[in-house]
Amino acid sequence: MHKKIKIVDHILIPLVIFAILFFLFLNNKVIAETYLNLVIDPVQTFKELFFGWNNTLMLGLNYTQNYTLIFPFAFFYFVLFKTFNIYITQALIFAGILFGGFYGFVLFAKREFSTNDRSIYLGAFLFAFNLYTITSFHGASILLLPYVVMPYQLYFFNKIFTSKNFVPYSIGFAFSVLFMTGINPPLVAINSIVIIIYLVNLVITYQLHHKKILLITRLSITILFSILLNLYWIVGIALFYTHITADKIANILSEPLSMQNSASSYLNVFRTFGLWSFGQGWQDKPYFNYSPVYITNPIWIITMFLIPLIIFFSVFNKNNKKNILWILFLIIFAVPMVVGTNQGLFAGPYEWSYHHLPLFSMFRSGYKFIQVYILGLSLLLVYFLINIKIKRQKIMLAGIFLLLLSLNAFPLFSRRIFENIEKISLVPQYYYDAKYFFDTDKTEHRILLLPVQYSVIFTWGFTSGNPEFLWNKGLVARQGGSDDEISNALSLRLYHFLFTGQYDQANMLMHQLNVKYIVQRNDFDWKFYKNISQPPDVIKKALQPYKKIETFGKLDVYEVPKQFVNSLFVGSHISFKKISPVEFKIYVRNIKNPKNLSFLEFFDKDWKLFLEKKPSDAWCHPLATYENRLPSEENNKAIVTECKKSKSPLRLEDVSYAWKKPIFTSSHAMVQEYANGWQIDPSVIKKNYSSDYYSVNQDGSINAVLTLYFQTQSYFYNGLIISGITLVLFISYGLFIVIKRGIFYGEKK
Amino acid sequence: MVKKNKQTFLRRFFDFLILPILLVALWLLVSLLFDRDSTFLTIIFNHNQSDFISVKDTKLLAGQKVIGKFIAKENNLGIIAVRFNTYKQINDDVLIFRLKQANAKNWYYTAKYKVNQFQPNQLFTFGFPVIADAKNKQYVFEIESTIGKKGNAVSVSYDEPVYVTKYKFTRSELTNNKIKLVVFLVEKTFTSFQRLNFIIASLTYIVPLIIIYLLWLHTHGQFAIRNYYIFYIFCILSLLNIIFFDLQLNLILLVLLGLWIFIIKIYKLDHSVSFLGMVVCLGIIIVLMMMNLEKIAEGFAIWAYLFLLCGTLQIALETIQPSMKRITYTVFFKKIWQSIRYKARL
Repeated sequence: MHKKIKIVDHILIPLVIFAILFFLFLNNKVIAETYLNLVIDPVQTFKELFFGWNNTLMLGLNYTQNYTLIFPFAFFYFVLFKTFNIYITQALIFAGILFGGFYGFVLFAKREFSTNDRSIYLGAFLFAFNLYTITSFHGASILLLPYVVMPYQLYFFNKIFTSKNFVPYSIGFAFSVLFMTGINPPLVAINSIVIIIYLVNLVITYQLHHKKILLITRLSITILFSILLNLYWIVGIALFYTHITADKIANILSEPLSMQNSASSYLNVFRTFGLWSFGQGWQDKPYFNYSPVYITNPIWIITMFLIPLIIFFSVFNKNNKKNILWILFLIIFAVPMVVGTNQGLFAGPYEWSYHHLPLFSMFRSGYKFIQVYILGLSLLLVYFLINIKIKRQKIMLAGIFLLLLSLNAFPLFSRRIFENIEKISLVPQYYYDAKYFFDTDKTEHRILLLPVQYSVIFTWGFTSGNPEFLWNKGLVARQGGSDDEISNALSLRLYHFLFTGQYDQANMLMHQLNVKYIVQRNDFDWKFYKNISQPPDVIKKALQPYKKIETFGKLDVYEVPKQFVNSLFVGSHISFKKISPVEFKIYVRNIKNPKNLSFLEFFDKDWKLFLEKKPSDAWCHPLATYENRLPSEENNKAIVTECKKSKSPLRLEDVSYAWKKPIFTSSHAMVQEYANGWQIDPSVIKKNYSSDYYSVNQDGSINAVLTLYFQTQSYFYNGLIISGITLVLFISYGLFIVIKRGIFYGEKK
Repeated sequence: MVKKNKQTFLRRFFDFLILPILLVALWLLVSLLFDRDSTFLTIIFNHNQSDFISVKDTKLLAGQKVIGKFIAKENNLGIIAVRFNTYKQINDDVLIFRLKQANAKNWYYTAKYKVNQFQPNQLFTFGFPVIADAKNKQYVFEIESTIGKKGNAVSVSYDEPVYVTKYKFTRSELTNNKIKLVVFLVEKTFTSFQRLNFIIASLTYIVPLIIIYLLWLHTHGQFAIRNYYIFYIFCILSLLNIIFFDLQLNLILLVLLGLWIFIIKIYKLDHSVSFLGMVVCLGIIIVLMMMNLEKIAEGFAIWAYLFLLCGTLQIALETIQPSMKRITYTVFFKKIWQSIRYKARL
C-alpha cells in the first residue's frame, strides 16, 4: 500500500502534470520569446555565449553577464534543438520550468510541514500556475528560473541544517544556484532574502544559535561549494557590474521608478497584479490579450480576491502559529516591496532607499517581489488545508480551491497565454540567402539597418531579437532604451543625415562606425512604429545616392562608396587579424614617435593590449587594405591591412591574460565618440621590455606585435576551470554515495 | 455635594464644549495655513462643466480648442488651473493658453505650455499677470492644441471642479481693513471646504487632535476605554480615511495605525482581531469591486495590509511572551455587544 502511494506521488502525478504541460505547449506550436536569439538559432547563440564580447549589436557589447546563460538555459536549448526541433525544444523547456516549480514546491512543503497530505499539490498548483508565471512567458521565461528554483533552495537549506550528513544537500544547493542563473541580479537578491528569512526561522526553530559551530561550518561549506561551482559566471557578472559605465547605468535606469510601479497597489498585489504593462496596451490593443478578463469580468474579480481571503483564514487556526510566522514575515515584507513608491506608508522609505541605499536601485521594478508573496500564499494554503481534520470538509474545500486556482490561471489552460503577435515566426529563407552573401565578405564591417526600429516586428511575424544577427556582422540600428544611449544616439544621427539628404555627413559617420553595407528591410512592419519608422518608398528615395548591389527576397542591399569604407582598426601602417570576438592580433611597423591606434568597437576598459615576443607579420595573409579618412593628424590617409582570420583553440595563453601585465593602459580612452583608443609609444616599449619584444629598423623606428584581448574572458576561463574541477568532484562524490548507500535513504527530520 | 456637582459640571463643560471648540479652532487655523493647494492669502473658486462654453471630452487634436467663460468673484485674479486627462502617459503636445476680458478685442495674455509636465487628472496652473480690478467682470480663456494627435494628446477632464480660478490678496490690504479681513476669513473657510482635497487634507490635522482629546478623556477616568468609544472612533476615522482615500495622506495612516496599536495594547487583544480586520477588509473589497468602487477598495486594501502587518507582529510577540493573557476576537466582540446592550437598557 505504502509503495503504491509512493509510486503515485513520486512518479504518476509528476509524470501526468509534465505530460499535460508539454502537450499544452507543443499543441500551441509556439516559439515564444525566451532570451537573446535562442529561438532563432540556438546553436550559434549558445556558442556566442562563451565569449564576453558580442559585436553584433550596440556597436559592440560587453556580454560577460551572459556567461550565466551557458548552463542550464542555452545548454538545454542547444542539446534539445540538436536532438528534436524548435517546437519540441520550447515545449520541453517551458513545461520543464513550470513543472520544476511545481515539483520543487511539493518537495519543500512536504519537508516543511512534515506531511504527505495531498493538499500540498494545491499549494504547488498555485505556486506554479499563477499570473506571475503566466505573464513571465511574454517577457523572458528565463526570469522564472530563480522563482522555480526557490523551493529547492529552501528544501536544501532545511536538509543542510537538520540532517546528519549535510554534504549532499550542500552540493544540491550549489547546483540550485547554477540553475538560478544570475542574469537578473534583483531576482538573485530576492531569492537570497527569502533564504535568509528562512534561515532565521531554522535557527529559531532548531535552536541552532546554541550550535554555533555546526551553523557556521555548514553555512560556510554551502556558500563555498556554491561559489566554486558557479565561479565561471559569478566572475562575469561581478566584473560586468563593477566595470559598468555611468552612461550604461543611466540607460538601464532611464525609465522612472513611477513608470515601473505604475500599476502596483495594495489592491492589485492581493490579487497578484502589479506588472505595469498588465492593464495597458499599444495602439488600442492590450499587451496581454487576457488582461481585460481579470480587470473587468466579475467572476475573475471575485476569484482573485477570494483566494487570499480564504487562505488568510488559516491564521485563525488554533494550531501553533510559530510554524508559519516566517511565511507571514515573507508576505508582510514582500507586499510593500511590490507596491513600491505608489502608495501607502512604505512608499516614502522605498523611494528614499532607491535614491540613497547602495544597490537598492536594482529594485526598480518592485513587481518581482510578487513571487515572494505567491510563495507565502501557496504555503499558507497548504497550512490551511492540512489542518482541516474533517475529510469531507477538506475534499470540498480542495475542490473549491482547484476551481478558483484554475480560473486564476485560465490563460495557460485555455491556451491564451501566447497571443498571435508574440508567436515567434520562423525567419524567412531570404535572411539565410543574405547570410550566404555576407559570409563571402570575410572583412570585419557593420551593416546599417533600415527602416528605423525600436524593437523588431516584421510583416511576416515577430521575433525576439534582430534576425539579422544571423549574418554574423555588427549591426547599426536603434535598439530599445533611451535615445541618449551612445550607440542609439549615433544610429539616430546617421538616420537623420540620410533622411535629410546630408550625405557627406552620413558617409563620414558611416566611415566612423565602420559601416560597409546598408540593408533596407521591405518586410519590416513600419506601420507598427509609424512615429519613428519609414515606409519603403521614403527609404528608397533616401538611398538613391547609394548603389544597390543585391536583392534577397524583401531585403535590398546597398553598398557604401568604397572611399568611405573603413577598417576595424585605425592606425598608421598596421596590419591586424581577428582570432576570436575577444582577441585580435596587430602588427605595428615603423613607429618612431607616439602614434594613435583606434579599435572601432564600443569602449570598454577591459580591452587590454599585450606586447608579444618575437615580432613578425608572417601570420598576416592580406585580405583588404583601407585608407583611413578620419580627421586625426598622423592617422590621416594611413594605410591599414586587414589579414585573414585564424581560429585557434583554447590555449594556456588565454588563461594567462588574467594576470599578464598589459601595456599602454594609461592611454586607453574613448575616441570617435564610442570607440577604444590608445597611444602607441615606442619609448615605453624600449624602456620596459627586452629586445625580444620589438625589432629595430634602419631608421631607428621599431616594429611590434600587440594582442588586443578582452581581459574578462581570461577570468572566465580561469573560473570555468575551477567550476569544471568542482563539478567533476561533485559528480564523483555523488556516484560514490549512490553506489555506497543511496542518497536519500536513512535520513529523517 | 453641590460643590462636587458643580465641579463635575465644570469638568464636563470644559471636556465636552470648551476643549472641543478650542481644538476645532486650532484645526481650522492649521488646515488653512497649511493648505497645499493655495497660500493663506489666496482664495480659490471652483468652476464646473457649465463654465466651459466650448468643450471637448475627447482628446484635443492639433487645432482643436476648449473655451471657458466665467465672472471673476474677487479682485486680483492671477491663476486659472484646468484639470486634464493625460491618459496615463507622457504626451508631447504643446498647448496655447489665451485669456482676455469677454468684450475685449485683443488677448490679455498668451503663452505656450508643454503637456509633458501635466499630471494625470490634476489641475494644471496657467498663471498670468495679476488683474487687480477683476471683480464682477467676465473673462474668456482658450486652450488650443498645436500638435496633438490620436494616441498622443490630452483632453480636459470632467472631474469636478473642471477648473478653478485663484485670487491673491495682500497682507496690507487685509490688515488695514478689519471688515475685509473678517469677510476674507469667512469666504476663505467657505470656499476651502468646497474643495475635496482640502477636506481630505484637513483630516490629517484633525486626527492627532482627536487622539489628544481621547488621551485627555482617558486620563479622566478611563471613560473612553470602558465604553469602547476609542474603538468606535478608530472605526469611524478609518472609514473616513478609506472613503476619502488620498494617496498622499500617509501621515493620517500612520496616526491611525498608531491608534490601532494603542487599542491592541489597552484591550490586550490577540492577533486574531487584527486578522479578522484583514479578512473583513478583503471581503468588503470584493463587494466594492463588484460595485465598481475601486478607489474606496484601494483604501480597504491598504488597511488589509496594515491589519496583516499588526497581526503578524502580534503573533511574533505572542511567541515571545506566551504566558501573557490576551483577548481573542470572539471575546472582544462579545464584550462590545454586552456594552451596547447595557447602554440600550439604560
